Amino acid sequence: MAITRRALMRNGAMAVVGTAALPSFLTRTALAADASAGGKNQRVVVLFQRGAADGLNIVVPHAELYYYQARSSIAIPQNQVLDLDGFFGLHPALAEFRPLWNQRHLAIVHATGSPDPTRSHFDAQDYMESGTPGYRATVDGWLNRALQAQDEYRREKGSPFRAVSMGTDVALTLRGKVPAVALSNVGNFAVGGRNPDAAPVSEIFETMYDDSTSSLLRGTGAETFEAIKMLRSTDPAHYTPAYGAQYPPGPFGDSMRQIAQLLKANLGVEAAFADIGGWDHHVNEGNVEGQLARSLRDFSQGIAAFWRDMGDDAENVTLITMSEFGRTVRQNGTGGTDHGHANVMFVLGGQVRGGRVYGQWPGLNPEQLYQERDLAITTDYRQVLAEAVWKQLGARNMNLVFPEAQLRRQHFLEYLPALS
Amino acid sequence: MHSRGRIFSLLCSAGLLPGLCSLAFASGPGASHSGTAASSSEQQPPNAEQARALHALNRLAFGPRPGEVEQVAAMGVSRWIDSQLHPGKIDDSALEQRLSEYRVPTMDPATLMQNFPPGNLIRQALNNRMAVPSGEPQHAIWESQIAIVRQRQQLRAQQQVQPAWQDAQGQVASTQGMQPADAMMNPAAETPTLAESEQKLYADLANTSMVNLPPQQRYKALLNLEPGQIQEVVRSLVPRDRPAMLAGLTPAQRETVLALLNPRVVVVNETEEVRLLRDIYSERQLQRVMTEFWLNHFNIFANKDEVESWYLPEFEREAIAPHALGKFEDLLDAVAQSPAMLVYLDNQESVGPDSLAALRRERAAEYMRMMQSPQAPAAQRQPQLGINENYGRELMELHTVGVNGGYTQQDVIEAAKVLTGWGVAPPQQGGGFQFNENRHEPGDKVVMGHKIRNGGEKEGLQLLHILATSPSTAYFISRELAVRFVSDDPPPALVDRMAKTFLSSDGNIAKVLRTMIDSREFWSATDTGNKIKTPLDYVVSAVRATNAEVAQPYRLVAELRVMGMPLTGTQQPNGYAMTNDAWVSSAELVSRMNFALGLACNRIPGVTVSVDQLLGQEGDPSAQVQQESRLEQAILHTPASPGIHQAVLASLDDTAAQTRAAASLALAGDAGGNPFAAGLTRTASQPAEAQDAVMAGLLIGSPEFQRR
Repeated sequence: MAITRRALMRNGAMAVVGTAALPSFLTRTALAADASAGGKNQRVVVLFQRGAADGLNIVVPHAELYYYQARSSIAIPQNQVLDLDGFFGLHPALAEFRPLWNQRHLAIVHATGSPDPTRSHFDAQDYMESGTPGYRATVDGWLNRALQAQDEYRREKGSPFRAVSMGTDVALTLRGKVPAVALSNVGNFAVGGRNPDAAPVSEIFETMYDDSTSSLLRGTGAETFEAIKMLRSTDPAHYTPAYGAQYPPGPFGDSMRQIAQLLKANLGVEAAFADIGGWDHHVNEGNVEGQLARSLRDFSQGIAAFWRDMGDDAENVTLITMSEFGRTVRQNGTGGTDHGHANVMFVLGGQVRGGRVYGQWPGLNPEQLYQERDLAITTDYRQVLAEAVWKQLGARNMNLVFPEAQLRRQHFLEYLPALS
Repeated sequence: MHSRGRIFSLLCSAGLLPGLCSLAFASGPGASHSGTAASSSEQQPPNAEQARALHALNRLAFGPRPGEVEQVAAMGVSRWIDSQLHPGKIDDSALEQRLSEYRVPTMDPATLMQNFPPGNLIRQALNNRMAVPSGEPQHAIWESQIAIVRQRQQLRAQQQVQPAWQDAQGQVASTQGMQPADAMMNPAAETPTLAESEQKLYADLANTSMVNLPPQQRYKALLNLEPGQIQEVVRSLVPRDRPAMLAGLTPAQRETVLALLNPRVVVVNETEEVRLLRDIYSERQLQRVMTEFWLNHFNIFANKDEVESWYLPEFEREAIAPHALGKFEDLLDAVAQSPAMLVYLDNQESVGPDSLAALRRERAAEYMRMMQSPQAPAAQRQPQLGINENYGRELMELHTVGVNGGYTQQDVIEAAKVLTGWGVAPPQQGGGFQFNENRHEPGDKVVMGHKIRNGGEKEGLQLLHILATSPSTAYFISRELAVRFVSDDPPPALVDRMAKTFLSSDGNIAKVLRTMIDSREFWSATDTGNKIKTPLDYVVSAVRATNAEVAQPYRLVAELRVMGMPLTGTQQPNGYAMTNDAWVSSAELVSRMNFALGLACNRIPGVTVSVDQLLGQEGDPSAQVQQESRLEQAILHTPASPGIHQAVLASLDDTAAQTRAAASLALAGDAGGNPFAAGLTRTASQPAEAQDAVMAGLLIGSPEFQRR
């Protein structure tokens, strides 16, 4: 089984230390068998890079002459790129991704994005998150609909933490019929704060909501207090990441740490969402160093720490990154890039067939560009998401998840193994 | 359960609760649901007129204040409604007095920009393309902002310096893996020298001593700081000490100090704060409910671009509020010509493809092509001018006929052509509405079967008239009103009657509301209390129910952000949903319960609740069961359900713990970008009062109070 081989590789260092790795190895095999059934214990983590990240400087097509011609001062020099396959290479600030790639847990999809031509951040983010490019009135998100589609195949009630959105409100990606909980700070998710004296007050509120004649308030109240109690039992305020994982300081690192914390506490999380801002580099983007490099370091360190922290639990996780659109091939007059079209997505996970760049490369020759300026899209971002929805969450109704996209299984990139 | 029994027996043995004792022991632990009899001898079920008054105040106002149900019932509910439908006749001078010190909502956009400059004007001044105002305090604010922008640019430039270890070709010795150019990695930059530490110490001391100056001297000292120095001052103060920097200053002076740091925060916060204060304190409650309704219907996003925020006060003041109960077409015209909407939905970017402006651009581009080499990069060409459909679409889909209102994509394009030229002159300087003939698409247009003859600016008004008087619009607006005021799924017959009134009254909004209010459906018992409050409804009604004194509303505005309803912060043009399911989630309920406790226990800076006053007497700690009933009456205006009643009483079980809980309650939330607000002093509750406060908090956080 390829899975066990790769799991062994990933935990190779630990295996050397002692036999302690053995039982978890067996567990993992059992879970892997579960995974092939689709849905059980499977988790999807979605990360959104808000502001349109510059995919061409993130996964660099360093064998493209036009790349260097179009970006005289911001291109990543060929000898600085962390080469992946002789054509693409990672920005040097993504050094922490290198081991994940080598262990074949990290896959890349290039020249992907939303077919809608908008270059408005807000419209494009909404379209990406709703999963319905060009259709503004969608009120729910694709990941919520994926959970709805999952429910067509199962009866048991989801945990209150089934869908978790990091932040003060539920991101559009996770908004919809399936209850989703917004968490800005795991430690503060309680009535009266973490203060132990507040517990009786919380219980009184619980009694009240249990008594409400409104089924909506009663139902959500029950979920809320269940969630509060579940969370309290994990002692969220005192969390130590495992395996020496070090999250970068700042909101993104905090989000990743809290997602790991929730996943590892077995609270029944099946879908988690977090975002990271600050990718709109119109001015002084930088090259090997600079603004983009700083953002990428935060981004990759947060993801790498999450991966390390998750340990064996990472086996059931598929993490996908996305951004609303890419940026212009040519750098602008102020050392930055403007709003473009296609972009790059990362897919990381225990089951992922990594170490490969997926998708067709459309090329950067002027005649190959979208509207004569941007990287063209060869893979609809919904093809990437749908495969995770199908294989990781075990949902089938793609017309519900991505209406009008007419996605079929043959559209999948096969970055996840086929279900048995 | 054990402690509840203990407390009850204690109260019983003191002879205080004869009635309750038998009940508590008869029902035994855990059987709290049977305690109906406990809801008090002194609490009367409201009479029919009071019940009507409560419903009217919940639906047509932001909930009752203490005693208001009785007042409205005494006056007669019908009379109260009549007066609310004619807000001009209601005296609102107390509110105006309260708001008299807020300047932002009264200023026009250009004046606002002079006083609180946006980033684009600061950059122009920095590049000497614009003069800095000479008067004070504007001069200090501009200079401070210029210095801050300059500092930021310098910082960026330093970070952009080509690393010395990298030569011109980008070659680098691979052994130098560390990035020595990164200031963070440079130990010299990390560790300040002794002299630097000493200097910082004295600077901090100076700042601290500035806090101790008398207010007027302190204000002068802050204005006389080196430009940009204000950032250092704030940084050197611990958050606890920051509010003291503003203590004793007039509101205008406080605005100025905050503007030295960030003018935008002043503009946005004050806009939202005054909006909230009006909702809370205005006697013209229906006018406010309708103003909020239209502000949501015609939603604007404050962060649309660098200048949008500066147009928001004018938008509410001139486009929305005057027409909130007036004629729909007037409202629609005012919104369509408001710079706020023209910027937000991009109409001011829209140019007719055959307009003079587009033809000139094309000719210029052709000339450039002739002059340039054929290898000239495509990306550097000027973008083509063209139609922007954004407003044309939303005008139909969201503002008038609705998504099923019978228009096609072609109608959207035609409507957008009609509206080309409607713009702002120029938005970067706070300009007003302007029709630009050069950008207008010439020729006749057809929108939804109506022919609109070539007529420049007038075409737009003709289009708005067609849309405002369309039966689809009458139905769409009537239904939206019924969803807000009656139920999530309003009876179609009611909506039809309202739509009929809409058409026969030429879109008179007050008359449409009158039809709704006079309907049987509006007063239907099954729909009473069936609407879940939005965060705005909830926060405003809680403040009103507790008769809280709001000296500083910034924290309430921040609470709305925590609850997912920032007042000017939703990007979608359709605004917020007014249906129940949108506002019931785990995070939402947790935020609301915490807010309720925080409000009642006086843990919200700038907001003071007196539970004693709410009880109408001095708190008598020996009679807390009666207090609870009185609080139920004051806050819910009707006896709570037995379960809730018992649950609140249970809070009396462990006095010490509740008091400690109330005292140490920490609320999540932020200061909305106001660094001086972080630690504003809170009113300390007396322990005896804390019990009552917790009970009040429980009632405000109860499911009953989530509904209206």
